[in-house]
Amino acid sequence: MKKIFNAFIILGLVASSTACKKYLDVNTNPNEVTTATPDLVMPQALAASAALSQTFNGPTYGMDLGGYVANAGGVGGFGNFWTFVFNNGDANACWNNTYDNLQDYQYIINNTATTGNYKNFNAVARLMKAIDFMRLVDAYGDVPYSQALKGSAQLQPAYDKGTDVYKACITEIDAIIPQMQVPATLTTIALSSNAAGKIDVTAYSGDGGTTSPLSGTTGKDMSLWVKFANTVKLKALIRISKVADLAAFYNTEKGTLIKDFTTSDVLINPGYVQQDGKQNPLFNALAFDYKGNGSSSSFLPSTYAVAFYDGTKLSDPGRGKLVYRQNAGAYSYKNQLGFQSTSLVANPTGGAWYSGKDTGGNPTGVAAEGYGVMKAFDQGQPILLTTESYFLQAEAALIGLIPGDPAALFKSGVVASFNYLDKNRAGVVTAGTPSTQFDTYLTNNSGSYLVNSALWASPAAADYNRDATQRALEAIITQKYIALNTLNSEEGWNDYRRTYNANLSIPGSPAKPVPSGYPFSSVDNSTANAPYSFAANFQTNTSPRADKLAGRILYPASEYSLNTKNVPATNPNSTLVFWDARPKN
Amino acid sequence: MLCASQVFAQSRTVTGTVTAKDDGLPLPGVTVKVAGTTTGTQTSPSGKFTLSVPASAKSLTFSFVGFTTEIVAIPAGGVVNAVLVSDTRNLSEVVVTAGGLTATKGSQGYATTSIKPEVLTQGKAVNVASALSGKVAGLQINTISAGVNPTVRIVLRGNRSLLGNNQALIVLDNIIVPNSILGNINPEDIDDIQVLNGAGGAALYGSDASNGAIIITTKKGKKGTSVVKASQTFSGEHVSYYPQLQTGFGSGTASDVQEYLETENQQFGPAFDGKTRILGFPLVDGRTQSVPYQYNDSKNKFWETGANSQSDFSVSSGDDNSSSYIAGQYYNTKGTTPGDKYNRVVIRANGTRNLANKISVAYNTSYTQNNYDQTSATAGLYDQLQQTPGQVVVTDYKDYQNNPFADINGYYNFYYANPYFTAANQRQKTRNNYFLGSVDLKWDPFKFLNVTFRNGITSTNQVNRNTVGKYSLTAYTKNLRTYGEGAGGVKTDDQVGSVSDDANSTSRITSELQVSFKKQISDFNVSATAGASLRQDRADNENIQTTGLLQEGLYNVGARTQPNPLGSQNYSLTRQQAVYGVVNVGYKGYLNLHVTGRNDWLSILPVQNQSFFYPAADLSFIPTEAIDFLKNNKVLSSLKLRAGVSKVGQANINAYALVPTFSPAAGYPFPSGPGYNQGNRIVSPDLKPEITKGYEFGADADLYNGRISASVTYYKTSTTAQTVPVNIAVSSGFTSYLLNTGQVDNQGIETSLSVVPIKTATGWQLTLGANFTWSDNKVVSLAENLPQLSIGNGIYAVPGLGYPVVEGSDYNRDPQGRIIVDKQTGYPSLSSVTTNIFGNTNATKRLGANFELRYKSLRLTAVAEYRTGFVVYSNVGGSYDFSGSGARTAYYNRDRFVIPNSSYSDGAGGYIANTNVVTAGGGAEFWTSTQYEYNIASNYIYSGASWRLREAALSWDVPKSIIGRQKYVKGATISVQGRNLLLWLPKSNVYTDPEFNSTDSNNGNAIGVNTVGQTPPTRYYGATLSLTF
Repeated sequence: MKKIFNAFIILGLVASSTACKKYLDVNTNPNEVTTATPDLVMPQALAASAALSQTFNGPTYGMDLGGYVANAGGVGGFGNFWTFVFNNGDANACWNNTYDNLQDYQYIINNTATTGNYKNFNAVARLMKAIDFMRLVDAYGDVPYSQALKGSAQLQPAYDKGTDVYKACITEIDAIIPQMQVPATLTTIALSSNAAGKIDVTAYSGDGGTTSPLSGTTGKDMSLWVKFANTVKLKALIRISKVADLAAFYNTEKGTLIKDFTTSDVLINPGYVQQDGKQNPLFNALAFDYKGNGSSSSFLPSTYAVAFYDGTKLSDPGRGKLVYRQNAGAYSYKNQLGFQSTSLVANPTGGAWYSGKDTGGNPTGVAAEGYGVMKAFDQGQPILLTTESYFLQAEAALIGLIPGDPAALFKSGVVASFNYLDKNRAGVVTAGTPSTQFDTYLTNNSGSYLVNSALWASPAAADYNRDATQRALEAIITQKYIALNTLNSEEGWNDYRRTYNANLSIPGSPAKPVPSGYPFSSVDNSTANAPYSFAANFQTNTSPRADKLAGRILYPASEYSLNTKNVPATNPNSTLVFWDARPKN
Repeated sequence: MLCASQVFAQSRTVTGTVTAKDDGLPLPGVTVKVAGTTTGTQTSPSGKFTLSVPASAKSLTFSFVGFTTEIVAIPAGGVVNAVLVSDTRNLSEVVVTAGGLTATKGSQGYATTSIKPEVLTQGKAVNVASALSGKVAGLQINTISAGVNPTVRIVLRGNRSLLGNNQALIVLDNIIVPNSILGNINPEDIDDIQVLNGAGGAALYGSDASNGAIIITTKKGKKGTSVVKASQTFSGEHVSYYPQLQTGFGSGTASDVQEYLETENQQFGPAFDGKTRILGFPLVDGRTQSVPYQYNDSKNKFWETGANSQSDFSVSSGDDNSSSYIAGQYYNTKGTTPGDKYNRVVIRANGTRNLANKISVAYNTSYTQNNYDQTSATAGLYDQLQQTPGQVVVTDYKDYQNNPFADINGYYNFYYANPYFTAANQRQKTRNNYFLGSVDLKWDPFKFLNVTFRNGITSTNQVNRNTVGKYSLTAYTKNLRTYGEGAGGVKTDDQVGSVSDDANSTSRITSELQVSFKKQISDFNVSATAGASLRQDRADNENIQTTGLLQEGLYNVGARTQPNPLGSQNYSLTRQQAVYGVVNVGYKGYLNLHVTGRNDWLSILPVQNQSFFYPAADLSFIPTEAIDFLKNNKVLSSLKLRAGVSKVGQANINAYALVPTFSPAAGYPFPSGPGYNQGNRIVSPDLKPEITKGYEFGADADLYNGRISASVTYYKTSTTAQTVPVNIAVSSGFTSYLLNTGQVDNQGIETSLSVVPIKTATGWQLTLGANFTWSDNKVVSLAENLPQLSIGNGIYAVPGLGYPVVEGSDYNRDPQGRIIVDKQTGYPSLSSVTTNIFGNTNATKRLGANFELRYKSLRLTAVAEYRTGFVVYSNVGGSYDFSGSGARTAYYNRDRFVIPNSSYSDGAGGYIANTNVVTAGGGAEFWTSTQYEYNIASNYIYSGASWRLREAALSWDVPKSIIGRQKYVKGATISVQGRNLLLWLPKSNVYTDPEFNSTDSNNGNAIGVNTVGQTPPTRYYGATLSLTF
């Protein structure tokens, strides 16, 4: 027995010796990256922001809530988006994907400093984080902010008030801008690219010109990022401009706003290619998949949105051809939300928004040199277009946030809209001359103050909206609505809620006093009134509010099961985002 | 001489051969006696004997250790051939136990079951696991699908790990092997199977043993004999159970007024009337097809008759110093799904050799190659088949290459492709190679000391190719979408084709050193073993694929339309080291204490938790040898009482799972460069193994000299520190948190009874056996803030309930459980609660029944099994309702009907039983509505109960008198056998075999859901000729 136990002890000693520790030291992952530098995470985070932009723009959020899209013929499902009776399962991607994206920006922030070689990574991550959070507030109201993104240190993050999140984000931007303006040194890590490839997929940290002391060391000049940040701040200030609780904060921030805004389209393009999961998110969702098969055929343009092009409300054949696929020169691909007859036209293969080169025929090739909204699989994803920048400036000038001529900025906005749609996949303006197209547009609609700013101050007898300032605002919001159609559609939904004015009407139904916002609907949701109302004709929302539209989307079910103690009680109709101008009921 | 001649006159010479029933090999050393006397002899190395017996002798007794004693009458010819059956009940029998050690049955203080080759191979199952079904108490074998080589899930004593592996540990020739080996070794090569039901007996195997173990020993050559055997089996396979379909209505979708639609798969059209109707849209050349509008049985005829062929040979030989066993098998099958094929070759070479200096060596090697050629779209084609209206003769579309109505353009259906085309266009070809080898080197320097060194290797290599054929639709077809209701994707989307190639390899190397000591110290029989082992597992999986093929029929990632192929690689290396010790103390042969301890070190755990120790102990007591009045008792031949406790750890995490990872996301990598996303899982820095603690006790008894034997065991285990990824609020930045939490308790009773009511000297013997298992488990706790854990597929772990349970949607019901319907429309409504619990999905009661009748060389056997106490969810049911093909949809003849067990509101908070409010509609408007019927889970839950005849076989050893005096063939056996012959299901099950399961055998704890991925169950029947040379 003793021998046996001796043997046992010896074996035990052998096994626990350091040699055996080495034997077991094989648990280092040979397959995946376990530590990543900020320059490896940043490009992915920006590309995920692009995908997120489409999540908010897409048919089951912005395009639907903004009134741009309706169900196609013979399509079932998406019922809640027809009735505006949302539940905890709807639009969850807006929440989940944003926090997933935020986690990556937070990783960059945690691994960089506000000064030093990674200062520009730090600034860009904080700017994008602010954009993500403000968009989240626009959709959900109160959200976890100060306790969020802490991993196992805080498994159930508390919710912050939407106003507080906005304040924090604007304050962040205030801090970022000077950080971006600090001149780079030779050791500052370039944002444009490194040995592994391209980082700044928005292509905004350029060379800075030959006069820059850093000339030749690209990716260190942040001037375009500064313009972008200024524009984001402008947008945020406009959104809170009427919020009484934030009046003092607004006035302070108004003073620090740098009036230097983006004059080029902010796009994200990591180098989309025609492969599975690698196409431009917008094109992939609504034009063709990577195999060349038509994407989702479940949706059609709304009759309401088409009426801004086909002459019903405004006549805009120029942009109409760039935005919508036409059928023998007619806008036949359209529907009123909720109209479910099987006799309805189907969404064409390749999507009703894929206008392609030949607007009259059937575009077939996925690589066709398209213009308009769906240019090609490798187009950039819009984050903040120049046209939006000008319309924001026009509104800001109108409300005294910045100096300037609202009418001139308004015109620049419309021209910039033509300019973006005229661009081909490579970004070259080829489909027309924007200024000429604007002139034609003005000629065709010279009697409408929605196009002709000269009429803002001189209302016609038939106009319901007769206040000069309100007419200007209505024109600006309407043109922004048209310019961002299917590009940043969630802004349509945001502006509807923000500019809601119970005493205004829209052209085409001048006699109807309607409780609606600027280009937006009347409550008459009959089929005959479809061009003037984006409320579904199949309406089951029991909201006491006259507009019968949703108040908001709801927090995902996962928050109720996993963050039970913090998630606020929410009424889908009456719990509104803090800047929502509509009555609660 | 006179005396001698007198003797001669009074006696005669009897000769004969004694063989073992299991393998037909001669048995040397068998004691042969004239019954009732001491006159006798022993058989020679070739199993032969010659004995001079008195004229008065009527019969001979044959006895041999480890075999049941046989009494055989002496026929007039004086040739007595005896066949001895091994005795698996004898307490003195020596069996293989954990770690390759041996023990007498009497000393085992835990539940075990021995399976002999004859029982294993009687049904000619190709998969060893299938062959064990119904034969072992406590062992649950689920054949989880039909198909050419069905996957099998093998579980002892129920599920105890929530997300980890619950399948039994498989040990082949003392080497731990992957479960897939069970389907890839030749059952004919197996000499012995020991099932260790619980962790106690198996604890020595280390952290994999918490699920019990199945110890398989393959054959060796026998000393002094050379035997060559060959056999051939042919069998057929045939669908045994079809889902129940309605036969009254054809194509149509319209609500209210039933209207025929010629391009439709949904079957809500008018009742069949036998008139000729046009089917589908005209072809581009204007041709149309017509069919009689009546039900035909072609959906069932779609499934073909499978054909299997199995050829075996083996050569075994041995002398005083060495032995060898060499065997080969070729198995070839054609499945019931059109075009599916499978074959398998197994080659084995085992041997032993005694060297000088008390050293001996033994080796076991086996090589298997199997080839699958099957469709990868089983679910797709089965769904397409079930979506075929009754008037369509689907078998007419087999020739999709030449029949223009069968090809993808011309097929009548606007939404579904021709199932024959789908089967042919989406293929999966897999080749698996398994190499298994082990070498045991033994040194016995002293009588009391033994040293064993053992090396083993298990190497698997798989190449797998998935292809989808490229095709383009004609412009005419693409334009069909503009007609009528519009055609679906199948008529608008070209198929660009794809090819995906995988190369997967694993290798496991084990190395073990054992030192054993054995000594009799007065009344104590002491043995002790100390051992150390090392194990290394390496796995490498590589994939390359592309979507977008250059040419039809050319499947190569090199010939693609895309600029780059996609690829991935995953490599892993894990190591384990262990030391263990066993002490066994027997007292006077009737009391035995067995204590084991093992310490594991696992590379996959955090450094501070890599080492963990677990002990086990058991005790056996044999009163029939200890207590005087029980000794030589005529009724109670033997009785063993046993009890044991054990603790085992199982590390339920993968290699490299401790450190969060970054991976390409959002489309990355792009040509512009890389981009990485932080993973969404947080891992606890202190992960530990899951620990199962348990105890068991039981008894084994033999009565009337083995004519009755019985066994009973009760066990209880508790598994704590379950490794579970808990979902966390997304706003934390992450979605899951992997940590140790939760507890599952299991308990159960395993019993078996075997009775031999008839056993005569004329050769009749009837054996009736039964085993009954009750197993129960309960989720005791989960994590905080985790009300339930999703296992996938609608299967959950819920504290306080059995594991797992199925959940889903249900109707709004009144307090009495009646479905609340609208007083006007008669329609029910869908409850917003989606987590209604419908019951547990694991069979809690199982009964196996075995029957064996022998008459001389004839043997008739049957195995039946009953399972109950669980429910199953049919994920197919919804598809049947939506398509209108299911029998349910015609229960009310598509008329308006009163929903059974329903009520409506009385307007004052009460409910009135509904006897007269009929549904507003009874056709498509009801059956396809997600609010009224379709996909409401409670409609598709059915009792999992089943009775089945697992196998039946009749075998006949052809007597020498028929074989004749030729020199070549020494023995011949003819047998006919069938498997899964009969299946009885309760009325509520109109779908399929409740054993079928949509999750695969690997870590698929989400049992209890079947889908269209499982083709209908089949039965096998065949015949075998075996020859011994």
